[in-house]
Amino acid sequence: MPEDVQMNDSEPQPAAPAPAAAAPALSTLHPALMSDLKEIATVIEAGSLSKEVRRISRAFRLTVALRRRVAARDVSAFLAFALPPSSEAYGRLTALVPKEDDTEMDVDAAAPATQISIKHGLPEIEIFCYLLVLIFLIDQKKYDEAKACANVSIARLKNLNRRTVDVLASRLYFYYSYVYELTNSLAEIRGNLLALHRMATLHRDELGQETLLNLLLRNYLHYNLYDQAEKLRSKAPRFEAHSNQQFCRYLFYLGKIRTIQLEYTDAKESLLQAARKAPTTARGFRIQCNKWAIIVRLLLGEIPERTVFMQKGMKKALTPYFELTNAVRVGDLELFRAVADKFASTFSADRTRNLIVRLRHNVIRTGLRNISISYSRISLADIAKKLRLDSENPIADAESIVAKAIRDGAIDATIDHANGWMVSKETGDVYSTNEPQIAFNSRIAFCLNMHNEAVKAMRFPPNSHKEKESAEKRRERLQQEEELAKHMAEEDDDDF
Amino acid sequence: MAAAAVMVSSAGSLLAMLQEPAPELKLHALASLNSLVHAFWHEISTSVSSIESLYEDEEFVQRQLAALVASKVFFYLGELNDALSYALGAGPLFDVSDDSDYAQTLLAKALDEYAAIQSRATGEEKTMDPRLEAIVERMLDKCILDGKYQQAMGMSVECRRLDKLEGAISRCDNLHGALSYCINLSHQYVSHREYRLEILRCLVKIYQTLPNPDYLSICQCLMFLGDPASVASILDKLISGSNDDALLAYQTAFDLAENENQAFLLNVRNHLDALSSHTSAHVDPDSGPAVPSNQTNAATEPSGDVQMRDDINMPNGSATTVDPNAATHADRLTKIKGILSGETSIQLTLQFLYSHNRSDLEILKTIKQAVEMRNSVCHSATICSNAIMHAGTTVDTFLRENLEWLGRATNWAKFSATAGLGVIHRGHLQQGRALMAPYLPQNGAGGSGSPYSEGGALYALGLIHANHGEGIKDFLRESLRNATSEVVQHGACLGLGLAALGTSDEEICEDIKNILYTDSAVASEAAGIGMGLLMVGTASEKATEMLAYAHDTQHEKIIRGLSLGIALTVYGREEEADTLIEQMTRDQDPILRYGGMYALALAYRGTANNKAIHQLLHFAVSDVSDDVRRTAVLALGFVLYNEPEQTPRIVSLLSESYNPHVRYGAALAVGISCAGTGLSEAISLLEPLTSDVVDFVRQGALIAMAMVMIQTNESYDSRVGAFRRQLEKIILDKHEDTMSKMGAILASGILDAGGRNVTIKLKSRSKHDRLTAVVGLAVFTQFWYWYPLTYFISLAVSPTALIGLNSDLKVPKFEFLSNAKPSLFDYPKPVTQQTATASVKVPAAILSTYAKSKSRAKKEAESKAKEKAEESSIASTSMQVDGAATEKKAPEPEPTFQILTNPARVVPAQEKFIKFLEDSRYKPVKAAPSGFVLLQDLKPMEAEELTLTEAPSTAATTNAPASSASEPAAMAVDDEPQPPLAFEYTD
Repeated sequence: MPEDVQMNDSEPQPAAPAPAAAAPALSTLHPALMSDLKEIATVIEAGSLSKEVRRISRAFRLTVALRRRVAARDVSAFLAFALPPSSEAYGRLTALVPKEDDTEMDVDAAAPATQISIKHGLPEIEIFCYLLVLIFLIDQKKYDEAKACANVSIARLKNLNRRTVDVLASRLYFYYSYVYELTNSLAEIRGNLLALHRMATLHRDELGQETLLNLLLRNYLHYNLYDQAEKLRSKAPRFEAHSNQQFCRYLFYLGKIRTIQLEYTDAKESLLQAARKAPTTARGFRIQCNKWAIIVRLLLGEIPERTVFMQKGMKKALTPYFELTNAVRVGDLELFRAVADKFASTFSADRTRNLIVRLRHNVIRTGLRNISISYSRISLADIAKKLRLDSENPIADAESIVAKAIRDGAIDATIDHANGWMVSKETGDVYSTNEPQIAFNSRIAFCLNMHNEAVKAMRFPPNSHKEKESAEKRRERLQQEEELAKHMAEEDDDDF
Repeated sequence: MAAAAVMVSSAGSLLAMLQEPAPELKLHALASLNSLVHAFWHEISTSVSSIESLYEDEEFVQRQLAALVASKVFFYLGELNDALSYALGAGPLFDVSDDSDYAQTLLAKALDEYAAIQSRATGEEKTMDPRLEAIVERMLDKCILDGKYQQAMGMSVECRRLDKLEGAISRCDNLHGALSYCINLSHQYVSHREYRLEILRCLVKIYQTLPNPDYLSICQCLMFLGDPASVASILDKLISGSNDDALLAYQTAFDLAENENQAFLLNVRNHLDALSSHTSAHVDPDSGPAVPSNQTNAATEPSGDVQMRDDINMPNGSATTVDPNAATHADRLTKIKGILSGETSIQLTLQFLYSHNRSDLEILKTIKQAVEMRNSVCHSATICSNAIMHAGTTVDTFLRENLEWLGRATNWAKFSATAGLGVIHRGHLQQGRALMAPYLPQNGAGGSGSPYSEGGALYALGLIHANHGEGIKDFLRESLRNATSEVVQHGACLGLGLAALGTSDEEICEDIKNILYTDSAVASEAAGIGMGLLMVGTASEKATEMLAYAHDTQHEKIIRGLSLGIALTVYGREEEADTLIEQMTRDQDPILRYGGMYALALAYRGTANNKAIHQLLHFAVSDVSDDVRRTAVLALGFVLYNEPEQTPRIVSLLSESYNPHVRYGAALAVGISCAGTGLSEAISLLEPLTSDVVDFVRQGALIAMAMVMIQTNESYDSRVGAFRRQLEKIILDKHEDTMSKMGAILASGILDAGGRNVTIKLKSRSKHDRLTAVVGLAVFTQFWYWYPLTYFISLAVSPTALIGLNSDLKVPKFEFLSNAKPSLFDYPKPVTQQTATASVKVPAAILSTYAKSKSRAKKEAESKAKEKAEESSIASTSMQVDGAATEKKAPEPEPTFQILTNPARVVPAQEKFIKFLEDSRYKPVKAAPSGFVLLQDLKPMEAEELTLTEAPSTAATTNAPASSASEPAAMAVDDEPQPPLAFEYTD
């Protein structure tokens, strides 16, 4: 599977700056970059000491921003700065980072831009170093080293039980799985991931559980083990989502599983939600979500609006699906077959081919509906002809297809077996039914729900509501109250 | 198998095999599943029922394997209860020593489960799975074998396995450490009273088998257990031993006396007498006559003020005739009895407080000028503030300088003013009655006339003799019987209650009850409180009688007094009090519910009991009466004072309540539980409340803040300085409400209480609850209804001093180290006087004094002048080489340590910095950083240099005749505080 589910924080393609081209620029160490890295380290330290997970997530975001500029020398310099030279981690990590000629490095080392010193031996810093090296190695396409690094870091993580590490750990899990995926050996780590998931559950590390569950689902889906994936998903403990990105992924996998298991309505909901929740920068992920969503909607008998295919930056990727939709809309089996053949390679790459096979039935049904709308009465032979059913006994086929469509509620008609024709019933006025109300209600519910979630997501600075009343103000207020009381008393007197 | 595990991608085939009829196939499937369960638990979980049925199948060979697989699946599913029960079913297959997550988690679960079953109330049925018990026992044994004794001890305490606890302790290499660890454990983590006592009993048993027992700890335990006979026999054994043993006995006695359990100490004394009569008769039959005289003396102890002197002189006189061994024994016995009666420590404390008094009269002067003439509330608050500021110091300069001003107090204000003297002279046991004589009711004759001052004087006597009332009880009883005015009866009831605190004396009880049944609002209210005080913590039957009367009477005041009294009787009884609490809290009358809150507070004082907290929080938000809600919140302070850090967190939401009564309660709850800690969170919580919109909330917050900040200075927390300035501002502000002004005045008194040498402490150093202190604060909070009860706060204060004593119970010269910057724990700087205000005040001070008093007060006036001129007169005259004083003169960079000289002020926060010098002549028997410490003299041949001979009374000086190194006679005469002259009442 290509980078379909990659989000903004893990897009490997553009992140690999051609090292050769950038070499002259990078060969001099950026003092600014180094100080940025050091600053990140201090942020992590502060977060670790004050036990604020928020700061550590911030540190990670800062790292992602730096990612494209990091060169080998930066990494080694940072390792030397952050890790005690005698530590095991330092020895291992420096061995993994490729050496470059470091003549100019001394110059920079002599004039450090900022004097920041951090406490050695914090596990958070150590894990961060692992993460930095791992990302760097992946960006440099040194997958074997990256694998080694990932294995070492996972082994180290198993011995740590600190909630402040969780954020970094969840990222490490992700890259661990990613590097194995790149080398196409995901099956190897399934057991390990399960063990890690168990550990995260026992430590009540919910972010880790979320990440690992997604990785496991991805792992199973990679090998088309939909049944196993569904069993794990339903048995694993559920809780409120912590990370939006992980939740999007989860919804996407859930949608896929449900599609395969024929639960189209639920699948559609999950996929659309995933596409909606995903950040705008995660284009690849959203395209993938949309492809699946389109197929699921077609399978449900809906025709997606044209705007879906015209979304910015997706037009090209969605073209095959656009044509497919068109074929279904028209209900032309011939056209459908042509489109399916034309884009066969794309569909199999997207792993949607087996679903498209399922669509054929929908094409027929759409055609049938068109017929039922156009004709108040039509013979089964004509139906077979219009649908281009070219089997041995097209009339019997047509009869069974029509019967099934009626039973499924796709068309509102009856079959006159004696005469061999289908009689359509008059379509009533939709606005005389409850349907518009129901549709309206669902929209209102959706808006209210969104509003409530927005309110819940709001954060206030602590104690902001406590505005102190100064002594003068209080006196004024009391005086006013007193006057008011007097006034009222006087009014009372007047009444008598 | 491991290799196979990697290859399989689904456990479906194995699961299908389970359905096969052949047992071999099933067995194979189970064995494979067992090794694959970590990877395919989610698949297996769908068919876990078939595995379960295999386990239940009696025919199946490997039932245990089925149980193990099921247990693992449930573990992965997060169903730990099921996992545990199947793991127990797996028997030996469940490997306890396994290092996997599975085994570790299930073991922890097993322990929790076992502890939960064990700690279920005895009434419920206990169904203990023997397999579970076996696992836990294996764990415990393993801990002991691995040398993890503390873990083993903690676990056995948690699991209620005293046998294992004993085993763990006896195997431990550091026995004393282990025992003190267990004692700590039982106090901190065992919330069930009965069980705690059981543990302590077990510990004492172990202690007693030791070759070299730690008597200090044993006696503390025994005191918890309420076993005076054993304590007495230990003390007796010790004082019959060597000099060092005697020192240890004294130290033990001091530690016991510090816990202020009057009834228990009295019992110990009686047992000691019985024992010693036994032993001395054994040792030397000739000394027979001496012993009975000694005994009769003890029996007739309540002989008044002179009693103490002959108690000491008598045996000395007879000792000359008997053999030296018995003489020393008798001498030691007298001393130890003196200590146990609390008289020795009270006397030493009095001397310390007097000599180290550093109260700042400028503050009082400022208050006095700022307070309006006609505002009687602030006027009495000022008098009260003065009393608290000088509590126990016997310094009444301010009153004597302002007699005319004082004379403005009329009626109940006069009652309070007179009672205030009792606070100032608190602990002045010998002279107390003489001091109060001018105000006491004169039999037959008219006396001073005003019933208010008479009643106040009786109340004052109670305050002076609080919890040590042997000498004054009879007098107070007589006064009570003779009193006809209800005001005098009021004072007498309170006084008697205080003096006979917790003794549950039958006769006194009858007398007070007679007053109660007169059904006069004023007198019966006090009678209700007095009865409660008399029977503190006895959970006696009388409580029901009181409750019945509370239902009968019409007077709210009486009901309130009674309900507080009932609450006092259940002090410290925890679960035992539940029925009574239930009765009170369900009552229709809000005043009785209000009493119920106090009952909850006192029964569960300092236990942080979850049930009590839960109940109180419920009432705090749901009761319809504001009074009950306020009290419920306030009561949280009492329940939580053993964990002061918790209180601000628990009441933080309540402190933002819309209801001002709840806010007030929250403020006081923090004040009570965090008293004397200077806790930063507490201050942060109180700070906004001190500028609340409602006046009485401000009052409560100011008082609470003062209680929290007592004895902390500006360099320790800068907010202390800000608070002092805030108080001054409120007092000087003409527009401020009376309520908050009164709060500010009281707060200034509390902040500098006892000449800045005392703190509010509800727990003694040995983790006992200080009964008097808790009771004192509980009654103090009644000042909401009745201002004279404010004085009860004086019961809660305790001096913060390290007083070293030699074997003669004298104070030798001795130095030790405080390893912190001196400024951190120094006295606050005296207020600089503003010239503008000074001119107004001077005439008032001179006006009312007449010649005789002038001559007597002359010396004091001089010393006052000196105080203004340089630093402190008292410290310099009392030959104190206080490190702080010398340090101040040098403006050089501050040293990081400080040498303190015995006796010295050591504030609670400073305690952890106290170090004893290695090469000192004296070696402490117990390395306690404060309190009374007995010192072992390493060079007994050399002459000793004594300090603290300066006594506030002649009686005290005659008690220590041999030791007067300085000029005590002259000092004593001049310094003897005179009773303030009769007030010129203007009524």
